[in-house]
Parts: sequence; structure tokens; C-alpha cells
Amino acid sequence: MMPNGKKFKNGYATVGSDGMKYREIAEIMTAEGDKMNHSTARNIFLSAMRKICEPIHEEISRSADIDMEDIYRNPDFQDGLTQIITDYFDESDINV
Amino acid sequence: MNYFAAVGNHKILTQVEEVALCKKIESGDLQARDEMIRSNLRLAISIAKKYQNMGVDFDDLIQESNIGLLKAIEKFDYRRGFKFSTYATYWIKQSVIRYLHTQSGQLRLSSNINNILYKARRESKLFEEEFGQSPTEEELADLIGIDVKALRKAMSHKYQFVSLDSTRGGDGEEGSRKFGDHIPDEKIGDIDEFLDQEKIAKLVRTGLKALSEREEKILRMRFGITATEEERQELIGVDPYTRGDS
Repeated sequence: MMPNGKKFKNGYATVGSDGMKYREIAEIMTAEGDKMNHSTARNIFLSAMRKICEPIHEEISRSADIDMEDIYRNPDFQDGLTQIITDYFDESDINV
Repeated sequence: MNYFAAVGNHKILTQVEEVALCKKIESGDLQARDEMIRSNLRLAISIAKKYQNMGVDFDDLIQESNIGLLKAIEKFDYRRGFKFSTYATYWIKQSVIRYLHTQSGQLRLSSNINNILYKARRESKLFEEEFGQSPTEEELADLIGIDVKALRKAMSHKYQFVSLDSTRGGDGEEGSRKFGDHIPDEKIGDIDEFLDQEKIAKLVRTGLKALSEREEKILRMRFGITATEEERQELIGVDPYTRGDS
């Protein structure tokens, strides 16, 4: 389930009504002093996705030959990932 | 003189004039036939106009419309007492619609199926305008005058085609994902086949720890996860405005 309660079975489960577009993200980051455009925002997001996926890929690649990109582009995988990421951030927020 | 101006120069025939011309046409008078055509070209244009903006060139629509007009002249029987335009409208529309069906879809469907789909769209729209809701299958079939089974069969052919390279979400902004990116890769199957949920969660958490502050911030915004100081304080039940004072 998405953080906002929506579920995108075959979609890219990252932007719901609460999620922001790359342009919006770039505007906020720029306003906060980290100047960037929407392409940079997207590249940073994808870099984060790759980092999250790396340990999983490492584990899976022991038993199957799968490209890492194929994993984090898989909608079912993203669907499950959203919940884990939300839980993780919620916990870290509470433990601030 | 352009085509439209030339067509406009011909006067509309009265029923008596139509009958007189038809009699001449029947006896093989080609001039009378031409006169009948010229006098009804305006009708052909006005019908073609109704089907503009459907992905087909307007000139082609007029051409098809004129073909329908020729067919109507060929088949018109003045003895029945109807005005020619009443009869011709049917043939012109049929000719234009058939042409549209052969041109506008990526998948060629039979004329009959296309006809049902066209009527279904039209009747649904009218129904929605009148009752503020979509008709049920039964209501729609009834409005079109076919049985539900035939309607279902026709509707099963109703597909929308999209390019795999078109973007979805993000209003087509640069960097948005394409449709093709959303199609699961059947080759990799289910991740659960390789790892159990608990292990996946653990590995994801390991990956999350490796994120830089910048990446985390952007990830949060993209996922719509609470991130501001005020929201954090709210989450742990502390008033952000009084925390520093106490």
C-alpha cells in the first residue's frame, strides 16, 4: 500500500497525492540552498533507488542472473519497497 | 474560385425540381445527374464537417462524403415522395463513417463492430447528459437495439492504444517514467521466489542506511513521507514551538 493509501499495482509506486514531482522537489531543494533542476532531482532519486536495491541484488545474484535495474523497475518490487521505506522513515522519525 | 465558394454558388433544389431532374437522370441524362450532384454538394460538406477532428484529413472526408452522395443519387427513388436530402444523408453518413473506421484505428475491426462501438459511444454520452450517470450494459444494448451479448462482444474490441514511449504521471515532464518502464519483466518473476519478505525488508534497510542526507531528503519528498521538523515533532507528540523553551 502506498503511504497515502493508494496502491499502484502496475505503476511506478512512488508518487501519490502526497509525493512530489521532480520539478517540485528541485524547487524546494533550490529554495533551501541546494540548487538543482528536475533532471538532477531525478538522478539523485534513482541513485538512492540503486543504493537501496544493491544489497538485494547482491543476495539474489548468488542464485540467479538478474540485472539490478530489472529489480528496481519491477512494479511489484516497488510496491513492496514503498511500505518498507515508509516504515523505516517513520521509525527513524520517531527515534529522532 | 475555391471549392467551397464554387459549391455555394449552386442553389438548393425544391422537391419539384428534384423530381424533374430524377426523371431526366432515369432516362440517362448525364447533365441532369451533374446538376443533381452540384446542387447537393453543400449537404455532403455539411455532413463531412461533423466528422472533422477525428484524425482524418477534411479533404478526404469531403471526398468520401461525395462518394456517398453519388451512391444516393444512383439509388434514389423519387416515386416514394421523400426529399432527396433525407435519403442522401443516410448514404453520405454511411460512406464517411466507413471511411473513418478504415483510417482511424490501429486495429481494423469489421464495419459492424465499429458501428456498434460508435453507437455505444454516442448513446452513452447522451444517456450521461440526461441522467448524470453511465448506462448499464442492458440499458446501452437496449438503446442501440442489440442484445447484451452482441454489445459485450463489440466492447471486447474496444482498446485504447498507447505508445510504450509515452510518459505517464508527472504531466509528461522530462524525466518521467515511460509506459514501457511500468511493464513487469516476466523474466525475473517474483522477487519472493528468491528471498522472503523479512529478508527483503532487512536488505532494504541496509540499503537505506547507505543513503546520503541529500538522497534521503529527495526520496522522502518523492514518496511523500513526512520529513519536516514540525511533522517529526508532531509524530513524537512534542509541540515544535515549545520544545526549545522547556
